[in-house]
Amino acid sequence: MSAHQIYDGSTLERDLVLEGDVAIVGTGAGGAITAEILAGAGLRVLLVEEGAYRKPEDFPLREVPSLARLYREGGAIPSRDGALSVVQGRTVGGSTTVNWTSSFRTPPPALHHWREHHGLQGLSPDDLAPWFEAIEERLHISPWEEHNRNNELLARGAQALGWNYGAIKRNVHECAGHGFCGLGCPVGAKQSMDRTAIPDALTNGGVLVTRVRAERLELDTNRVVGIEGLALDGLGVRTTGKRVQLRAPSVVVAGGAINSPALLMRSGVPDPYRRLGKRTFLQTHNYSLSFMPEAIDPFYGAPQSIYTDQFTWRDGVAGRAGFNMEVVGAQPVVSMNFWRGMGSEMTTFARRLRHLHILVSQIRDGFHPDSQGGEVKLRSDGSAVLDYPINDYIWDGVRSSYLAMAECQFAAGAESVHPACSDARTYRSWPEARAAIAALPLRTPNVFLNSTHPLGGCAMGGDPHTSVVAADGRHHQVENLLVIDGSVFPTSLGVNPCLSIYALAARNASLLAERIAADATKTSQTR
Amino acid sequence: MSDVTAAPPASSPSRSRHSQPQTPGAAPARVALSRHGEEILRAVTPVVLGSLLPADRAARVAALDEGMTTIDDYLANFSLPLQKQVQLVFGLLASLPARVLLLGTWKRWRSAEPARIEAFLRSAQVSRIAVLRRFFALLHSLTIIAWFDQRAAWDQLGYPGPPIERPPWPEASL
Ligand SMILES: Cc1cc2nc3c(=O)[nH]c(=O)nc-3n(C[C@H](O)[C@H](O)[C@H](O)COP(=O)(O)OP(=O)(O)OC[C@H]3O[C@@H](n4cnc5c(N)ncnc54)[C@H](O)[C@@H]3O)c2cc1C
Ligand code: SF4
Repeated sequence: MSAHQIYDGSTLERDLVLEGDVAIVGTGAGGAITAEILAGAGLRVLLVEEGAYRKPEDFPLREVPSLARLYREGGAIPSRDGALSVVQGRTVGGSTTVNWTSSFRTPPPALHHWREHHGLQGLSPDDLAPWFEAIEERLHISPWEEHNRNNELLARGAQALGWNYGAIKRNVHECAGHGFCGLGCPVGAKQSMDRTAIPDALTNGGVLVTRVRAERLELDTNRVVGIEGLALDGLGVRTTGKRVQLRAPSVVVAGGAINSPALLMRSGVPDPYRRLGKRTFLQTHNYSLSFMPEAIDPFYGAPQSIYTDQFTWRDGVAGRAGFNMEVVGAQPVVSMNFWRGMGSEMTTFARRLRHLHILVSQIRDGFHPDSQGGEVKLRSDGSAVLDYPINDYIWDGVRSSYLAMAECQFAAGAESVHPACSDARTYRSWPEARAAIAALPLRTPNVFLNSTHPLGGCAMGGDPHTSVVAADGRHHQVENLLVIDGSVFPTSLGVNPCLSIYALAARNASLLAERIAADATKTSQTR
Repeated sequence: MSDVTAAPPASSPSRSRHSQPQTPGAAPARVALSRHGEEILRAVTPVVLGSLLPADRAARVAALDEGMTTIDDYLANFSLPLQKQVQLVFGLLASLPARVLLLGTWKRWRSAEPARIEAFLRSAQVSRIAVLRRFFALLHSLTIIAWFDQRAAWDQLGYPGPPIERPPWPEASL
């Protein structure tokens, strides 16, 4: 490996100006795959990332310090009214460094919906198949069969109820099954971007600047002429006063949902139809807690390896809110935080943690007229905040998924089930749970709602009146600007999104590389 | 690591703090957890955790000390706007009108009877006023953060700990 060129913004002693062929904001799923492909095509790639570059041997496997350092806002970015929180990584590799490795191709119903309702061509399941295959090979995405007890119980419940369920593929290589994926894989088995695409891009001459926040894009009429970055201190909280400027003929924004639209908004990027930040989706997660008779030690083993999509598309794409269902495999802080008991109840609950089985449902949004998602707004200091109203459409999804999760847990042998909701009680049987959940008052923040899958805000679409970028990631108004990350999806997906982001990034980065090569040939011919 | 005047480096705060000689009894320097926040959380934590907190006085104090350091480190990594929001909430809760209204006492949080604190928490949790429900969730969640990452807590839970022993964050992460 050639020496990697990396600047840590927190130690910069003077301002920095870098020039290259393509400048990329963000090193997560979208930014890293883009960087790898462009650097591999011989282009000089510049990457700027707000978080720090951590190595596997750095990860201390302790929950709180890891949530604090590897995630934005400690893993709980509050929405504007505090009704729910969004979970995003903030480190080299972005959310991929802390994600749970569950890998799904984009479901065909979503892709068809995009063609019919968002004018997206060239993104059919067949069109995307080669890109999925390429990424699956690159990131060792393959079926995982060593299910821990936690996941087996989901399979058992789904099987007993006759639901459709299956094994999840994971992007891991020589995974030891520690189950600490959310705190950074300590042995580098997870094929996250900090272990794969980023080092590869650096080996091919890419330059990485960490602990620097891209504050704004400099615009000159319809072109981006540079990225203005502010260096951050060791915690990544305060600016140090040092500035970083990236200059390149092509600029890719890959800061993820919420932050990509926010950067464009801060920069005053043309938005004639006021689409920026709109239609931000969450596939909102809600949770069901149950105690199993036997100890299941949910702390260890691949966190997610079984899913059920029994309810995802059940009422048709544009019908009632559907949801997919998986388990939560986590350590004590994350697990205990789903339950808001006190005093002696707390003691009883905590002492049975080894028996705790947690299911999560992800309620897909964006396909129904009553599901227009949230909107990113800027605070007076330019930072981003998501306004996401929870309406009846989402509440319907919450109630039906609470019911489904409880039914599944009882079918798997649970002694008791408790929806992760301050207004719920502990139910001892499925009939009791069914009656109680049907009558449960649903209100925030008592219903524990969050999302590790924020998507949208820079929606792609065929019509500039209703979208921000085209299917190839190119901005509708600014000619040398692309967005390549989770913010371009025009709806949520109904599955964990990472593989969809990787594959679309691979496609759109390859198209960009071809265009740049074609332009270079043209220029040299006209000379 | 430059420019960390107000903040410790992005490394283990516990390590850097514990290695500094401290006057016994002196309050440790906090980065993000305000004085009001610490006072309130020290009062709330035992109520939420019940008999999970060690009964032995010294062990209890040590657990609370470690918990507050953990919370401070956690909050210190928040963006400044969010740090400020959290401090505002604590400032509000610590104010005299809030104490009279919510706890039903003129006393400070540190001397309020646990029964009053428990009554406040239980009513806030199911209050018709959304902002009180949110305050409850914040206090409860920070209590979880304060306790369940401590080794002493893991024994109660039957959690054997991480599969690999690792030191806290190294001084330099590049
Ligand atoms: C805990 C957790 C578990 C998950 N589990 C799964 C899973 O099992 N399967 C799955 O498919 N998905 C999972 N996801 C979701 C998945 O990881 C994300 O959808 C995906 O990584 C998003 O890719 P992205 O490129 O849009 O953004 P990210 O990967 O989030 O990367 C964006 C990066 O840009 C940086 N950035 C943002 N703004 C700026 C700026 N202005 N200047 C500089 N840098 C900036 C951020 O710091 C971040 O590092 C999980 C996510 C989390 C948080
Ligand atoms: S289960 Fe453990 S070894 Fe496997 S990817 Fe996750 S953290 Fe790494």
